[in-house]
Amino acid sequence: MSWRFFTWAALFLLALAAPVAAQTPPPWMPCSGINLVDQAFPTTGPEQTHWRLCWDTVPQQGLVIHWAFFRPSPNARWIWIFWDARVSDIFVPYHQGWPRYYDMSDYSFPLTAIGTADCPASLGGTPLGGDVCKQVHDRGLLWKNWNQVRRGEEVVLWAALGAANYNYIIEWTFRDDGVVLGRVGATAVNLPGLQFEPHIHNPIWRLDIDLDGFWGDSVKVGTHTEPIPVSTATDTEPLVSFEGGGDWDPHAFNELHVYDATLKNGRGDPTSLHLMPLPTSGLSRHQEEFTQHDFWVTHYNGSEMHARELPNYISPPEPVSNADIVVWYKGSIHHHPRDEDGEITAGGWWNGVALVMWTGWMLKPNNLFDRTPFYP
Amino acid sequence: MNVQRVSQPLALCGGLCIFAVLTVAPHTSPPRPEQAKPEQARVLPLDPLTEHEKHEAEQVALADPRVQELLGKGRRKTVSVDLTAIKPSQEGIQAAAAGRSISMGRFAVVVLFRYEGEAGVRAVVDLARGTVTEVARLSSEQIPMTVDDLAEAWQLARRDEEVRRALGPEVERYEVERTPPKPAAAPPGFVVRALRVRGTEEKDPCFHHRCLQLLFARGNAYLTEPTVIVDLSAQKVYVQRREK
Repeated sequence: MSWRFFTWAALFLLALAAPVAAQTPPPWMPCSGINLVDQAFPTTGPEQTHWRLCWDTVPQQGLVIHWAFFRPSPNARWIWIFWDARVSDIFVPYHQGWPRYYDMSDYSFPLTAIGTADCPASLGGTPLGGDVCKQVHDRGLLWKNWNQVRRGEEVVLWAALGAANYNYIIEWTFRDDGVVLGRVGATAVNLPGLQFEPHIHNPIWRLDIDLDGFWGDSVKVGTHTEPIPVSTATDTEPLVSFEGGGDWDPHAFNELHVYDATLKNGRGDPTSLHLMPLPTSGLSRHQEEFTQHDFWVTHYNGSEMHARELPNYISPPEPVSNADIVVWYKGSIHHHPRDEDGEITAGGWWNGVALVMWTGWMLKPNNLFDRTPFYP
Repeated sequence: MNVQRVSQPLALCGGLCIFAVLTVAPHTSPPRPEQAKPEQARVLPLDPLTEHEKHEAEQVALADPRVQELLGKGRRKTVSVDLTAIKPSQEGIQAAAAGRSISMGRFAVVVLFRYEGEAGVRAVVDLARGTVTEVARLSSEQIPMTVDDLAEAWQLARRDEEVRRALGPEVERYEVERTPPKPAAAPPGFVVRALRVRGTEEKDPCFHHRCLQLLFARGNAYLTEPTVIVDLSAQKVYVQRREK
């Protein structure tokens, strides 16, 4: 056999190994076992996208996400999305002015137990640790174009905080297209004694978004302007320069755009993550100062975890441009009790449950992919 | 052109070496979830705290002179021991993103409560070094209520005549739930649950005091009257009925 045979053999082996070698190594994760979620999409067939994240259950803060990486293609590098994401508090004022509950920070409520009825295997569910459900399943249409179609998938982690009469579903969804959804659902039993009193559940999320690492992040406010009767519209992104709170204007399609100073996709376009509100009916304002804005941007401080302290955290305001930033988002569930919530039975017992009502947000990648994901 | 011949054994060795390097190099796809093996038996920095670590963190915190000074010598309790993470350096983050293990340390936040004067202490414990890295005083309103507070509140309330009248002969059947009911189990019998309440006006005792509103459940149903509020600071029970 000549040297040519061995050279060709070596090149053949190299060609076989090349697709494997092109894949980037997974990031090192500081968690293991059930606390590590490693989910590639699609769930069958060759991998296209991939999530890798840690979770934990924390008294007073429910189900918490630590570290989350996303890889938009097998050959791309892993992009850091979250250092930490959690619900900081759920503030519940009643319309008559009292009571005003802090359902997460005022009491160390436990998580409810999760079983197979909560988390059926037939729907992609796996109970984790007795109080968390992981579901991997179809999420409906990803796109459709005449006779071409693609369905999407997602991995969902959820747990339920047992806040005395109420249960709060804390849900984190990581989609195959890089989108993250955070939702809180209020359910279980209306407050006994005030079961007919309207009230608002305000979950406030603390989202420590570290796009491609914690350094050099900036937040801009996506703003749409269409000065009627002029027929043209413009979109701008004013920078959030200092810590503070801000308000959503639905007519301006406000979003928070989180940029990294250097991260660009393969086409050279700056990558950002767009935090979009998913309000169910309205935006609350209460006498408590921390509720008087829909979002806040603060500089990272590991000891600043409590939403109701936000006015103190921003005093004096620190610069948040090109910095390690934390975004706080307030959602609102306006609960006007109805007969479907329950009834008073003999002896003055309140019997029934309020069906789940949701609020939340979407974190959507922008210029993270180089092309349409999951497209032929 | 004079091409130098490569010896056959050398070429074979070269080919096999390239193959070996490519197959064992770290540039491989991570295992698919269904094939994933347990990553490591040892505890990683953000794995949940073990019971042993919680105990250790509590002992380290209680032994710290700064904590002792803030806690005093009177009655006290441990409110919580939770994991916390401290961000590593930029180099550390980049190394982790590239797949290399990094040193992060392992830290716990211990929250303690002193009954005298109703104040709290937050201590960050470095579990690897067995030291307290940070101590802060907390106000009473920053200290969450726990199931121990509920148990104390219920002990006070169950001795109150008006509460006993309201709950009737079943008063002794009520219990504080220490662990949530198991999935698919029958609804719990007679359970006392609680929410922390705060006064909205200065004159309200619960404006400054630590107060719990008790809720009485029988199976899935809750008693709508009376409203029972226990002021743990003043050790008083308030029973209110709605005006008809």
